[in-house]
Amino acid sequence: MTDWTEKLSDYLDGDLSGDELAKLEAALQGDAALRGVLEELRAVKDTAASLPQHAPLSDLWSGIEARIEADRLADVVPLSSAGNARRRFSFTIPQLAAAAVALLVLGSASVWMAMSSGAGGLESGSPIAVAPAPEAGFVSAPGDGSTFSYEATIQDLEQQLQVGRDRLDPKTVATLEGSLATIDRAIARAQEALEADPASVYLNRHLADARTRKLHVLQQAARLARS
Amino acid sequence: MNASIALAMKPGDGGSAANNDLDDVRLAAGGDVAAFERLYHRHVARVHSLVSRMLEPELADEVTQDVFVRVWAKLGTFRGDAAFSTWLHRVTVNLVLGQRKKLGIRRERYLPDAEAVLDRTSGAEPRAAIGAEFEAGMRRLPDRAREVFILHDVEGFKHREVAEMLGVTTGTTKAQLHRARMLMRKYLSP
Repeated sequence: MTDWTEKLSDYLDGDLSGDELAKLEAALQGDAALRGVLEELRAVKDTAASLPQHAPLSDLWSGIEARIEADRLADVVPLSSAGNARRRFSFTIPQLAAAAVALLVLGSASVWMAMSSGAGGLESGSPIAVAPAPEAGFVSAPGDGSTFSYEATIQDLEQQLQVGRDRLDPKTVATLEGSLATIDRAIARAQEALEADPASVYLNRHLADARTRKLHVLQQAARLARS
Repeated sequence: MNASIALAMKPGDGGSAANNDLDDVRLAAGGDVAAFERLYHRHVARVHSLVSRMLEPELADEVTQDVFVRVWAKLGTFRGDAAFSTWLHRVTVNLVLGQRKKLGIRRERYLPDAEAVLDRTSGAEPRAAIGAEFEAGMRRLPDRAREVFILHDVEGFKHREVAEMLGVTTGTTKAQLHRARMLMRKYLSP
């Protein structure tokens, strides 16, 4: 015996024909319950098609523009090999800062490594590079196996940036602040989501990624502000 | 970036928005960032909505940015034989599906306690409330059913297109769509 309920979506979408269509329509005439299910499915389909679009709560354009500009600079000056590393210093600090911030927001580990180690590693006094932590809250420093407070490190970097921000181009500062605001929103949303689903490995990983990304951006920005 | 883009328009793609898109795509492909910003503002809501529904909402801002950066890089491959919005949508879907795969979003969403949520909706509730419940319901669908439902019923892709994007048969997409609709009707019932 045919379960006509299973055919109702095909019927709604006009995908039935011939004998099958005729039999389903006959079944619908004699079965009020089947007609009821059909109307419910039609309502679902109509509701889905009329769902509103949701624009982002904040303008994402500044972050996109920064990444595009970084790509354009990368097209001109390859940053992928140590041999080319010194060429980038032919650019102005604001250009480099914009590219660095944007590339960090992009989250490309390879670019990060190229920029930070191209001249043989980070300069003396630079903050240490960190790897994404499996859980948010603490980030492991490579090499010595120790841990340090994420919040204290962020606070310290923010202070360094604050002290040196006058040395940066205002456009760079604006780009930087826009990127950090975007990351902060991502962190806040991840934290909110985790309150509802604290055991979610996926959400924890996302939060850790976002916090690590903020750390990277602040490290590079503080470094530029000091230079 | 290749600026030599064929700008043929398909019948039915007309209208000032599509014309504006084509003009701006041509300019953006030549490196005009302001033109690309106009494209962004015209299309960001649809892209953001799709990303938000297919992924976790908290990822939507970040992935929406990824989409537009990807589109910028790929503008040279846009041939203009379909509307820009259609092409943009395909790029978005491909990126989102790749992201889902990368992030391993394959957990079972339709949990037993979701039944309680499904039954909360009252027929007397305002439309906006039903919309919110409906959106919440979509997030609880099993992953494959959710993908097919959003791409077909919300975004308007055909079964053939959905099947191609997901790498399955149209028989599978039809079965998953029916499964999703049957589950979703509980969000509309009193």
